[in-house]
Amino acid sequence: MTLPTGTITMNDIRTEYSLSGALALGQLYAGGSIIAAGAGGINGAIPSSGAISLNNFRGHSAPPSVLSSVEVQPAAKYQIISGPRGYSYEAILHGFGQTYNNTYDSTIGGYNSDVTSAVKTDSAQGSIINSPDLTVWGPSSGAIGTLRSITHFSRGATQSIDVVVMIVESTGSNSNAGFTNLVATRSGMTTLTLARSSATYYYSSTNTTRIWLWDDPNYTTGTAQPTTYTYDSSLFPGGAGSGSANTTTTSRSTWTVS
Amino acid sequence: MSNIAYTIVEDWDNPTSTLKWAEFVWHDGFAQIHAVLNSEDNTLIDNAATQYKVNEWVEAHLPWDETV
Repeated sequence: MTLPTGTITMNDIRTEYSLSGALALGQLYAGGSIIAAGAGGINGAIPSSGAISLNNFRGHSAPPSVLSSVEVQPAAKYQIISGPRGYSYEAILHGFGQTYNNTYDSTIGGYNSDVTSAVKTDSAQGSIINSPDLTVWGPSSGAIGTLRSITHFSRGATQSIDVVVMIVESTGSNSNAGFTNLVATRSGMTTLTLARSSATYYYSSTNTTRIWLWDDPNYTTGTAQPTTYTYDSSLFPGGAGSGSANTTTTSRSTWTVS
Repeated sequence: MSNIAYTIVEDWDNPTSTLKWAEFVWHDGFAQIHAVLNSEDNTLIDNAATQYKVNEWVEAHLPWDETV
Protein backbone atom coordinates (compact mmCIF):
# COMPACT_ATOMS: atom_id res chain seq x y z
CA MET A 1 0.00 0.00 0.00
CA THR A 2 0.90 3.61 -0.39
CA LEU A 3 -0.32 6.42 1.81
CA PRO A 4 -2.74 8.84 0.16
CA THR A 5 -1.32 11.71 -1.84
CA GLY A 6 -4.20 13.90 -0.71
CA THR A 7 -5.78 14.06 2.71
CA ILE A 8 -3.88 11.88 5.15
CA THR A 9 -4.48 10.94 8.78
CA MET A 10 -2.48 9.37 11.56
CA ASN A 11 -4.72 6.36 11.20
CA ASP A 12 -3.51 5.92 7.61
CA ILE A 13 0.04 5.67 8.96
CA ARG A 14 -1.06 3.21 11.66
CA THR A 15 -2.61 1.03 8.98
CA GLU A 16 0.40 1.31 6.64
CA TYR A 17 2.74 0.20 9.41
CA SER A 18 0.32 -2.20 11.16
CA LEU A 19 0.51 -0.13 14.34
CA SER A 20 -2.06 0.25 17.09
CA GLY A 21 -2.59 2.60 20.00
CA ALA A 22 -1.34 6.11 20.45
CA LEU A 23 0.98 7.45 17.79
CA ALA A 24 2.69 10.84 17.79
CA LEU A 25 4.45 12.58 14.95
CA GLY A 26 7.54 12.65 17.12
CA GLN A 27 7.72 8.87 16.75
CA LEU A 28 7.80 9.13 12.98
CA TYR A 29 11.14 10.72 12.25
CA ALA A 30 13.11 8.92 9.54
CA GLY A 31 15.74 6.71 11.10
CA GLY A 32 13.62 6.08 14.16
CA SER A 33 12.05 2.85 15.28
CA ILE A 34 9.19 3.04 12.77
CA ILE A 35 10.30 4.92 9.67
CA ALA A 36 13.45 3.80 7.91
CA ALA A 37 16.29 6.23 7.34
CA GLY A 38 16.06 7.80 3.92
CA ALA A 39 12.33 7.18 3.57
CA GLY A 40 10.22 9.69 1.73
CA GLY A 41 6.98 10.47 -0.06
CA ILE A 42 5.79 12.72 -2.87
CA ASN A 43 6.95 15.78 -0.95
CA GLY A 44 10.51 14.57 -0.53
CA ALA A 45 12.37 12.99 2.32
CA ILE A 46 10.70 12.45 5.66
CA PRO A 47 12.66 14.55 8.20
CA SER A 48 14.97 12.82 10.61
CA SER A 49 14.65 15.72 13.06
CA GLY A 50 13.05 19.11 13.46
CA ALA A 51 9.74 20.12 11.94
CA ILE A 52 7.59 17.24 10.77
CA SER A 53 3.99 17.06 9.58
CA LEU A 54 1.57 14.68 7.94
CA ASN A 55 2.39 16.44 4.69
CA ASN A 56 5.76 14.67 4.78
CA PHE A 57 4.02 11.28 4.56
CA ARG A 58 1.85 11.82 1.49
CA GLY A 59 2.62 9.12 -1.05
CA HIS A 60 4.97 7.28 1.29
CA SER A 61 4.98 3.47 1.39
CA ALA A 62 6.13 1.25 4.21
CA PRO A 63 8.84 -1.12 3.04
CA PRO A 64 7.62 -4.65 2.47
CA SER A 65 8.10 -6.95 5.42
CA VAL A 66 10.99 -9.35 5.16
CA LEU A 67 10.77 -13.04 4.34
CA SER A 68 13.12 -14.87 6.69
CA SER A 69 12.04 -18.47 6.17
CA VAL A 70 11.05 -20.59 3.20
CA GLU A 71 9.90 -24.17 2.85
CA VAL A 72 11.50 -25.86 -0.14
CA GLN A 73 9.97 -28.59 -2.25
CA PRO A 74 13.17 -29.85 -3.81
CA ALA A 75 14.00 -31.13 -7.23
CA ALA A 76 17.07 -33.14 -8.15
CA LYS A 77 19.05 -32.77 -11.32
CA TYR A 78 21.23 -35.69 -12.18
CA GLN A 79 23.64 -36.42 -14.93
CA ILE A 80 26.52 -38.64 -15.86
CA ILE A 81 29.13 -36.42 -17.40
CA SER A 82 32.46 -36.93 -19.09
CA GLY A 83 35.47 -35.74 -17.23
CA PRO A 84 39.20 -35.61 -17.75
CA ARG A 85 41.29 -38.65 -18.51
CA GLY A 86 38.35 -40.50 -19.99
CA TYR A 87 36.45 -40.91 -16.74
CA SER A 88 32.73 -40.44 -16.33
CA TYR A 89 31.34 -38.76 -13.28
CA GLU A 90 27.97 -38.53 -11.66
CA ALA A 91 26.72 -35.12 -10.65
CA ILE A 92 23.64 -34.17 -8.69
CA LEU A 93 22.15 -30.74 -8.13
CA HIS A 94 19.47 -30.70 -5.42
CA GLY A 95 17.27 -27.94 -4.16
CA PHE A 96 15.42 -25.13 -5.87
CA GLY A 97 16.36 -22.48 -8.37
CA GLN A 98 18.54 -24.71 -10.50
CA THR A 99 18.11 -22.32 -13.38
CA TYR A 100 19.73 -19.56 -11.37
CA ASN A 101 22.47 -21.90 -10.30
CA ASN A 102 23.07 -22.43 -13.99
CA THR A 103 23.12 -18.68 -14.67
CA TYR A 104 25.98 -18.20 -12.22
CA ASP A 105 27.64 -21.58 -12.73
CA SER A 106 30.98 -20.24 -13.85
CA THR A 107 31.07 -17.73 -11.00
CA ILE A 108 30.26 -20.36 -8.42
CA GLY A 109 32.40 -23.21 -9.58
CA GLY A 110 34.68 -22.00 -12.27
CA TYR A 111 34.38 -25.40 -13.86
CA ASN A 112 33.13 -25.92 -17.35
CA SER A 113 30.11 -27.89 -16.32
CA ASP A 114 28.83 -30.25 -13.72
CA VAL A 115 25.17 -30.79 -14.43
CA THR A 116 24.66 -29.25 -17.87
CA SER A 117 22.55 -26.24 -18.72
CA ALA A 118 19.93 -28.33 -20.49
CA VAL A 119 19.36 -30.39 -17.39
CA LYS A 120 19.42 -27.46 -14.98
CA THR A 121 16.93 -25.43 -16.97
CA ASP A 122 14.34 -28.09 -17.67
CA SER A 123 10.83 -27.69 -16.31
CA ALA A 124 11.29 -29.80 -13.18
CA GLN A 125 12.57 -27.09 -10.84
CA GLY A 126 12.33 -27.05 -7.09
CA SER A 127 9.78 -24.68 -5.65
CA ILE A 128 8.86 -22.69 -2.54
CA ILE A 129 5.71 -23.69 -0.68
CA ASN A 130 2.93 -21.07 -0.64
CA SER A 131 4.74 -18.86 -3.16
CA PRO A 132 5.85 -16.10 -0.76
CA ASP A 133 7.37 -12.83 -1.95
CA LEU A 134 10.99 -13.82 -2.49
CA THR A 135 12.01 -10.24 -3.25
CA VAL A 136 12.18 -9.43 0.46
CA TRP A 137 14.41 -12.30 1.56
CA GLY A 138 16.48 -11.53 4.61
CA PRO A 139 16.68 -11.61 8.41
CA SER A 140 14.28 -9.61 10.54
CA SER A 141 16.74 -6.73 10.49
CA GLY A 142 16.11 -6.19 6.78
CA ALA A 143 15.82 -7.75 3.35
CA ILE A 144 19.04 -8.52 1.48
CA GLY A 145 17.44 -9.10 -1.92
CA THR A 146 15.53 -11.61 -3.99
CA LEU A 147 16.15 -15.21 -3.07
CA ARG A 148 16.88 -17.04 -6.32
CA SER A 149 18.36 -20.37 -5.34
CA ILE A 150 19.44 -22.64 -2.53
CA THR A 151 21.12 -25.74 -3.86
CA HIS A 152 23.25 -28.61 -2.63
CA PHE A 153 25.51 -30.19 -5.16
CA SER A 154 28.79 -31.81 -5.93
CA ARG A 155 31.38 -30.14 -8.05
CA GLY A 156 34.94 -30.46 -9.16
CA ALA A 157 36.78 -32.65 -11.60
CA THR A 158 36.12 -35.65 -9.39
CA GLN A 159 32.84 -34.37 -7.99
CA SER A 160 34.53 -34.66 -4.64
CA ILE A 161 33.41 -31.34 -3.19
CA ASP A 162 29.96 -30.98 -1.69
CA VAL A 163 28.67 -27.45 -1.42
CA VAL A 164 25.61 -25.49 -0.47
CA VAL A 165 24.98 -22.28 -2.35
CA MET A 166 22.57 -19.43 -1.70
CA ILE A 167 22.02 -16.96 -4.54
CA VAL A 168 20.47 -13.56 -3.85
CA GLU A 169 19.91 -10.91 -6.48
CA SER A 170 19.61 -7.37 -5.24
CA THR A 171 20.04 -3.80 -6.25
CA GLY A 172 22.59 -1.67 -4.55
CA SER A 173 24.79 -3.47 -2.11
CA ASN A 174 27.58 -5.75 -3.26
CA SER A 175 28.73 -6.44 0.28
CA ASN A 176 29.28 -9.75 2.00
CA ALA A 177 26.83 -8.82 4.72
CA GLY A 178 23.25 -8.72 5.91
CA PHE A 179 22.77 -11.99 7.75
CA THR A 180 24.51 -14.18 10.30
CA ASN A 181 23.31 -17.72 9.64
CA LEU A 182 21.39 -19.77 7.11
CA VAL A 183 19.73 -22.66 8.92
CA ALA A 184 18.14 -25.77 7.41
CA THR A 185 15.66 -27.90 9.33
CA ARG A 186 13.39 -30.81 8.60
CA SER A 187 11.83 -33.47 10.77
CA GLY A 188 14.38 -36.22 11.17
CA MET A 189 17.29 -34.15 9.93
CA THR A 190 20.08 -32.78 12.05
CA THR A 191 19.72 -29.02 11.96
CA LEU A 192 22.35 -27.52 9.72
CA THR A 193 23.63 -24.05 10.55
CA LEU A 194 25.71 -22.31 7.91
CA ALA A 195 27.42 -19.16 9.18
CA ARG A 196 28.01 -16.33 6.76
CA SER A 197 31.45 -15.97 8.26
CA SER A 198 32.25 -19.53 7.09
CA ALA A 199 31.21 -19.00 3.49
CA THR A 200 33.12 -18.10 0.40
CA TYR A 201 31.51 -15.02 -1.04
CA TYR A 202 31.07 -14.07 -4.67
CA TYR A 203 29.71 -10.94 -6.17
CA SER A 204 28.60 -11.04 -9.78
CA SER A 205 27.95 -7.72 -11.46
CA THR A 206 25.49 -9.52 -13.72
CA ASN A 207 22.15 -8.67 -12.13
CA THR A 208 24.09 -7.48 -9.07
CA THR A 209 24.07 -10.91 -7.54
CA ARG A 210 25.45 -11.96 -4.19
CA ILE A 211 26.36 -15.62 -3.76
CA TRP A 212 27.40 -17.44 -0.60
CA LEU A 213 28.97 -20.88 -0.88
CA TRP A 214 29.70 -23.28 1.92
CA ASP A 215 32.21 -26.07 1.30
CA ASP A 216 31.64 -29.29 3.16
CA PRO A 217 34.44 -28.78 5.71
CA ASN A 218 32.31 -26.02 7.13
CA TYR A 219 29.58 -28.40 8.17
CA THR A 220 30.57 -31.56 9.85
CA THR A 221 27.32 -33.45 10.15
CA GLY A 222 27.59 -36.46 7.92
CA THR A 223 23.85 -36.33 7.54
CA ALA A 224 24.21 -33.23 5.45
CA GLN A 225 26.15 -34.82 2.64
CA PRO A 226 25.40 -37.51 0.13
CA THR A 227 27.97 -40.22 0.72
CA THR A 228 28.23 -40.99 -2.95
CA TYR A 229 26.69 -39.25 -5.85
CA THR A 230 24.15 -41.89 -6.67
CA TYR A 231 22.77 -41.41 -3.17
CA ASP A 232 20.37 -38.81 -2.05
CA SER A 233 20.93 -35.44 -0.43
CA SER A 234 19.62 -35.37 3.10
CA LEU A 235 19.24 -31.62 2.81
CA PHE A 236 16.98 -31.96 -0.21
CA PRO A 237 15.91 -35.59 -0.24
CA GLY A 238 13.83 -37.36 -2.78
CA GLY A 239 16.05 -37.41 -5.80
CA ALA A 240 18.73 -40.00 -6.37
CA GLY A 241 19.11 -40.01 -10.07
CA SER A 242 15.71 -38.72 -11.03
CA GLY A 243 15.45 -35.55 -13.05
CA SER A 244 11.83 -35.05 -12.16
CA ALA A 245 10.31 -32.67 -9.66
CA ASN A 246 9.65 -34.16 -6.26
CA THR A 247 6.20 -33.82 -4.73
CA THR A 248 6.75 -35.78 -1.54
CA THR A 249 5.84 -33.51 1.35
CA THR A 250 8.29 -35.21 3.72
CA SER A 251 11.09 -34.12 1.40
CA ARG A 252 10.50 -30.48 2.22
CA SER A 253 13.05 -28.63 4.30
CA THR A 254 12.78 -25.22 5.87
CA TRP A 255 15.53 -22.65 5.37
CA THR A 256 15.73 -19.68 7.66
CA VAL A 257 18.03 -16.70 7.43
CA SER A 258 18.85 -14.86 10.63
CA MET B 1 50.91 -19.28 -12.07
CA SER B 2 51.75 -15.72 -11.11
CA ASN B 3 50.48 -14.23 -7.89
CA ILE B 4 46.83 -13.21 -7.90
CA ALA B 5 46.35 -9.65 -6.72
CA TYR B 6 44.15 -9.34 -3.65
CA THR B 7 43.17 -6.79 -1.06
CA ILE B 8 42.34 -7.34 2.59
CA VAL B 9 38.89 -6.12 3.62
CA GLU B 10 37.17 -6.07 6.97
CA ASP B 11 33.97 -7.98 7.51
CA TRP B 12 31.18 -5.59 6.62
CA ASP B 13 28.94 -6.60 9.51
CA ASN B 14 31.74 -7.07 12.04
CA PRO B 15 34.45 -4.56 11.17
CA THR B 16 36.18 -4.81 14.52
CA SER B 17 36.38 -8.61 14.55
CA THR B 18 39.46 -10.62 13.62
CA LEU B 19 37.58 -11.99 10.62
CA LYS B 20 39.21 -10.51 7.52
CA TRP B 21 38.61 -11.33 3.89
CA ALA B 22 40.99 -11.58 0.96
CA GLU B 23 39.15 -10.07 -1.99
CA PHE B 24 40.20 -10.59 -5.59
CA VAL B 25 38.78 -10.21 -9.09
CA TRP B 26 36.68 -13.18 -10.11
CA HIS B 27 34.71 -13.48 -13.34
CA ASP B 28 32.43 -10.45 -13.68
CA GLY B 29 32.85 -9.38 -10.06
CA PHE B 30 34.91 -10.47 -7.12
CA ALA B 31 35.31 -13.26 -4.60
CA GLN B 32 36.16 -13.18 -0.92
CA ILE B 33 37.83 -15.96 1.03
CA HIS B 34 39.19 -15.90 4.57
CA ALA B 35 42.49 -14.13 4.96
CA VAL B 36 45.09 -16.04 6.96
CA LEU B 37 45.92 -14.41 10.26
CA ASN B 38 49.32 -14.24 11.86
CA SER B 39 49.63 -17.25 14.15
CA GLU B 40 51.16 -15.18 16.94
CA ASP B 41 49.06 -12.05 16.60
CA ASN B 42 45.60 -12.50 15.13
CA THR B 43 45.24 -8.80 14.56
CA LEU B 44 47.79 -9.12 11.77
CA ILE B 45 47.48 -10.72 8.36
CA ASP B 46 49.90 -13.44 7.30
CA ASN B 47 50.37 -12.03 3.82
CA ALA B 48 52.53 -14.86 2.51
CA ALA B 49 50.04 -17.49 3.62
CA THR B 50 47.13 -15.46 2.33
CA GLN B 51 48.81 -15.02 -1.06
CA TYR B 52 49.41 -18.77 -1.22
CA LYS B 53 45.79 -19.46 -0.28
CA VAL B 54 44.44 -17.08 -2.91
CA ASN B 55 46.67 -18.57 -5.58
CA GLU B 56 45.64 -22.09 -4.60
CA TRP B 57 41.96 -21.15 -4.60
CA VAL B 58 42.10 -19.66 -8.07
CA GLU B 59 44.10 -22.61 -9.39
CA ALA B 60 41.54 -25.02 -7.91
CA HIS B 61 38.67 -23.16 -9.53
CA LEU B 62 40.01 -23.05 -13.05
CA PRO B 63 38.08 -25.10 -15.58
CA TRP B 64 39.21 -28.67 -15.26
CA ASP B 65 40.30 -28.93 -18.86
CA GLU B 66 42.88 -26.27 -18.07
CA THR B 67 44.33 -28.15 -15.12
CA VAL B 68 44.89 -31.60 -16.64
